Amino acid sequence: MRQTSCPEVEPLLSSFVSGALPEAAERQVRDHLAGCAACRAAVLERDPSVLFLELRREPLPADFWAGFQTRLRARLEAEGRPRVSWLAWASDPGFRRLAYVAAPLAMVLLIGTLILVRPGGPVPVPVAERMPALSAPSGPGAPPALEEVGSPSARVYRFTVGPGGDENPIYFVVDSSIDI
Amino acid sequence: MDEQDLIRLAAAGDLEAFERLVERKRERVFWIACHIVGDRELARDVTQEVFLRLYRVIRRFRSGGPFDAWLHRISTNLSIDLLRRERPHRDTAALEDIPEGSADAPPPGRAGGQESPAGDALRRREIRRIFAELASLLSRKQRLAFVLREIEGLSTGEVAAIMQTRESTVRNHVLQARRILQEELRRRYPEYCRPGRSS
Repeated sequence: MRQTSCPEVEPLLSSFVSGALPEAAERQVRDHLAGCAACRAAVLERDPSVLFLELRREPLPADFWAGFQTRLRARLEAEGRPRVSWLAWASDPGFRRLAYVAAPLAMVLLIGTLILVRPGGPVPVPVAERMPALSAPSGPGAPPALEEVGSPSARVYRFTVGPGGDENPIYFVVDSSIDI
Repeated sequence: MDEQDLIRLAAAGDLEAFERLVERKRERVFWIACHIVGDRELARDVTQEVFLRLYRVIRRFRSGGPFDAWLHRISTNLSIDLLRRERPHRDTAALEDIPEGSADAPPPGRAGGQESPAGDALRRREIRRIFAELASLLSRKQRLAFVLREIEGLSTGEVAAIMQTRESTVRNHVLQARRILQEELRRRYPEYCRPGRSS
């Protein structure tokens, strides 16, 4: 703030005392009074509290701060690096912005995973649907068709029963791993 | 180095940057403490505590925010805490508890000529003693608002940010404080209220 001179301040002193000055002007007058004993004396009878403006930044002894930084550093080093608490992280604006984006994304991924990937592995396709199309069923008395279905110990035999045009397939599964 | 850069580096754990920040800010922190606690040695101790507290919490500071208001709030809070420890049951003093003036204090400006530096220092010490005495008649908020705005020269907006209140409230506190201080100065120390005696 620009320093004001006594001729600039003197016309404003009455308004200053009565509190009629706008904020900026009042501050300029007050700053001037803090450093000018003559103008302060001119106001003193009307507003004795300006006496305490004299306390603003009185000079300190030259060695007043001697050792201050050294002692502070010693205490800071003894404290060590401040631990970052979860709350400190959570209050960081960058972290919060990331959280606003990541949280819904994580929810979408989680829900999608639950819908598409069920526990226990892929849904087993029924044996009948996995079997390749067979050649036309053999006639009566003919040996049943044999297909492998992916299990090393299982064999599937297919029979057809019923009159022509109304055949019904019967699948006979033989699996040595099944212990009945 | 730009102050914002210093703050950012200090918040990231750079001790050297933190120390340079301390050097820039300690005067204001000290004077705020001094005007509240009324003693330079105590105020210097408070100043060190303020920066220790700052070191612990500076990571929480949001870059671009009002750093000075935040720092000065720490200073005022620690100063007031110390004041309460020194006078635990009294935020303001009753009038009858305040000793009437100091009979040994030299009247202001009696020498008539230029004051010597030693005379200036003595006079200023006396004014500080008077302030400590009369400020105890103010509420904590009135005292704080007066110290920050009138003595330290901060703007009403800056004081409002430190006190976390509205500007109108700050102006009201200052107005009340000035009124009480004026009345008590006239009553107890009339010699300080006359021009030519107090400068």
